[in-house]
Amino acid sequence: MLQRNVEKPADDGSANKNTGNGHGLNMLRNWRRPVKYMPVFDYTRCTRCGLCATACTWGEIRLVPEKVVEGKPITIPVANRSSCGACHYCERQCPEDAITIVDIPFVSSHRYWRGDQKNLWRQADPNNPGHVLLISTGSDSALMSYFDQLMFDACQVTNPPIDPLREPMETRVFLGRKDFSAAEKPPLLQVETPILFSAMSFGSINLRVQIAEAKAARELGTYWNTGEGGLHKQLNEYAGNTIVQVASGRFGVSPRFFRNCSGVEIKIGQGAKPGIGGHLPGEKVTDEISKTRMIPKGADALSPAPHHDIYSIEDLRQLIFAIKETTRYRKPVSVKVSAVHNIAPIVAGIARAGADIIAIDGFRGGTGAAPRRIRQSMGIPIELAISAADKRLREEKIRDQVSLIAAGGIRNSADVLKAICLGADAVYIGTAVLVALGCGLCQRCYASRCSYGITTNRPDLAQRIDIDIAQEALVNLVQAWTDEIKELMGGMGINTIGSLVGNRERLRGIHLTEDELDVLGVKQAGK
Amino acid sequence: MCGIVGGIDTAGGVLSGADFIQAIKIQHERGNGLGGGFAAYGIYPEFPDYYALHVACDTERAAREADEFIRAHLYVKITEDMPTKDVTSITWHPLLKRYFTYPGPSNEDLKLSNLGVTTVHEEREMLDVFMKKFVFSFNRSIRGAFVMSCGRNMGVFKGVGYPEDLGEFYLIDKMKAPVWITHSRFPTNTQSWWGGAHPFSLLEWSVVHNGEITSYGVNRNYLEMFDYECTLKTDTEVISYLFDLFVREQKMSLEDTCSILSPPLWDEIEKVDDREKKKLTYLRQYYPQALLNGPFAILVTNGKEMIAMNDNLKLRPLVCAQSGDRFFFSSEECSFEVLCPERGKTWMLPGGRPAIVRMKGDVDAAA
Repeated sequence: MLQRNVEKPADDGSANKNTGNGHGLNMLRNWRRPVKYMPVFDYTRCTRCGLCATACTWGEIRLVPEKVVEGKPITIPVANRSSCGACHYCERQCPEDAITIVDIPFVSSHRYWRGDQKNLWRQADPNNPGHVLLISTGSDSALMSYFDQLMFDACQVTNPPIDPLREPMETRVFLGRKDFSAAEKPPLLQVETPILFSAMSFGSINLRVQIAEAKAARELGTYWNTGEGGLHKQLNEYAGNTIVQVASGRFGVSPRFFRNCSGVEIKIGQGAKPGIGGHLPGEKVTDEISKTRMIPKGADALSPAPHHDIYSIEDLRQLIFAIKETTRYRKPVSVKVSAVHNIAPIVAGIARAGADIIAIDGFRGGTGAAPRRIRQSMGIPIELAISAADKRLREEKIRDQVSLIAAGGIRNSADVLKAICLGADAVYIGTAVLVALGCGLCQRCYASRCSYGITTNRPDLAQRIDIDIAQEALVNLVQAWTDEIKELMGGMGINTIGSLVGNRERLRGIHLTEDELDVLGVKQAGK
Repeated sequence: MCGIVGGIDTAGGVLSGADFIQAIKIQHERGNGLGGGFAAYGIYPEFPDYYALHVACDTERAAREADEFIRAHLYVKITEDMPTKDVTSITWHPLLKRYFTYPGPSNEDLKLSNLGVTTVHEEREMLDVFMKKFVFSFNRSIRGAFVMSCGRNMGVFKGVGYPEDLGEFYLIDKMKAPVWITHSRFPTNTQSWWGGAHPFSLLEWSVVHNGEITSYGVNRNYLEMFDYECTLKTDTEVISYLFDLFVREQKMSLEDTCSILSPPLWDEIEKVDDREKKKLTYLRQYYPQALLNGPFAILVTNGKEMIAMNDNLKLRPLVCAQSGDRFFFSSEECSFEVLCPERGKTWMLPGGRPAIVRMKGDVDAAA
């Protein structure tokens, strides 16, 4: 079996309970697992409704009998201190605002080891041992964000700023190969705002979330991406706003899949786990997932680390053209790669291999599950990767042959525009989509017990997503960001987003070394 | 803020340089004395086939290096100091030289048969490409010297100072030409130097510009993919290169080129007929990097055609006047009182909609 030995999700905490062997001082065997967070209850506000215990899917809250009133037992919520991950769901659900999630202070005298001590105990834990530590979402590493070190220019005196409330501002972009010499013009994707929903598969998230994404994409005039888990038949109707993804597992790749999409993306890598495949455990492969992925129910869905038919660039070219032939050259083909050290020549190679769009995913890019060490220590920031790729494509004079999409750690509209100024034509957002749906970023999507009902396919939990409300939330988010982008553009005196793609003149860097400024192609502030 | 004035006699009749000095002088307030210049076409009828290089050199040494560089790459028919007149307000000027040249160290090297081309037209295209590369290479290699203009039968006369003083300095008042553009500068983005004054010129193209190209970074990136080198430290130069790229190299019409540089808004494209919509959509899809963003009013000419254009929000002034076969463009209407007091009509150029004026029939100012 190809299964990696990975950590099982923490359950209700029974494994950690002191077994009470009489001594209480037995090393290791009786240790409690270190927990970082817990809910604290304000019992003066609490009405003992018990909603929090139902809301919590992690087994952190138990109800303990308090007293009997008029023959009815009253229970009181108590924290187990076993499995809270600070998802904040109970806190946000409590009708009385009686819950606060707090950090449990961890006092360690050793500054160097402090961060790793707890992980090390987890890996050695005799009660639940031997694990590759799993983690979800994008890297939370303390490395600085280059986005935060970049400032936009603004018009003063010599050039009038443009007021987006009074003047037209255009954010429409076209993604694809702009080959004006070609007799048969390659297909382009028209995007009304340069923000697309990133790949998240059916399996990693549930169908209700995908439907909300697809509906929101249609309303916004942008695209959503199926991820590698195939295209559920209920989503056929959103073909005009769908990008389907072909990954190493080739899940759900079928004529229907190619018919009901606007573009096809070949996934080579993902920022959170460059060089690593995926693994959806068999117990999560439900009926619907089995049909959509075209694999047996209950079978592990394994995506190999490489595509087993792509061992070099010429193989990628064959796959790109196999897909173009299949779709009769009517749909642009995108290739998604992780931002790695050698990204510039890799991107140039992909462009020459025939890709119409290249999506680069930085190390902050999200994931449903990745080994923690990979997520925290592989890949490079998207800011540097997109700039290096854009520069290289220009040097090779093929920049207009391909569109670039930046992904991985885009937190707000300023990040979107900074990525564009560094050379992206558009961006993918993934984590931001989940956060818009409520996600508390507890980084435990792999456990499939998402209390918000996002990254789980348990029917009872998935019900927590209301498709219409979710769609509205996504539309609100993207419209708000688009309005903010227009404000930023107006301040810079620019009324068409195309005039910002790779326009590093409109950025200045602060607290960056000369080498960093050089890679970003940005001048020091004040210059 | 800058002032621009241009004029073209479509019947090939001549317009007096003295009038253009007066026309730009009357806009004195629009400049601050840190730059001005003139481009005139059809001024070297005695050498119509030779590329007229106007070269400015800061020092004797730069002038020597420039001379060696030119002679190493070009056949020089005539070389001379630019005729100038001392003007008290121009306290310093570079050494100004004029060369009439032909590509190739000797005239013999470039006979049609040796080039492997069969028509005069092909030959000219090849020579133009050579000259373009020569000029970029010159501006990159020779420290303290730059080429002001390199077209045939035309020239750019520019520098640091008020345009009326520079006009006197360059003896513009003695010149007559069917096509003129002129500029008064109030620099805001870059320091003032002789190379940064307008008009900017490449081959027969020259441009005067009032405004700021906020999309400069994108335009420069795009042009660099086609081997244009932006060496003059000012946003305006990209305009002349974009015209050269699209019209001369890629053989696009002036109308399409203008639609690329200052396209209609998407909402406006929705309203036009299907054929036009298809074309405009295509141009916007394929050439977003060549779009000029920011406030601008520009006059562009190649001696045969003159294009007046505004950004599509009309953030800079530009007015037009017609007087018989003569067309005039200016930042301010007052200039027309000098150029054509008896004019047929005067109108404001709408934002994003260019005015294109062509020489009549086979009249060709540059030929």
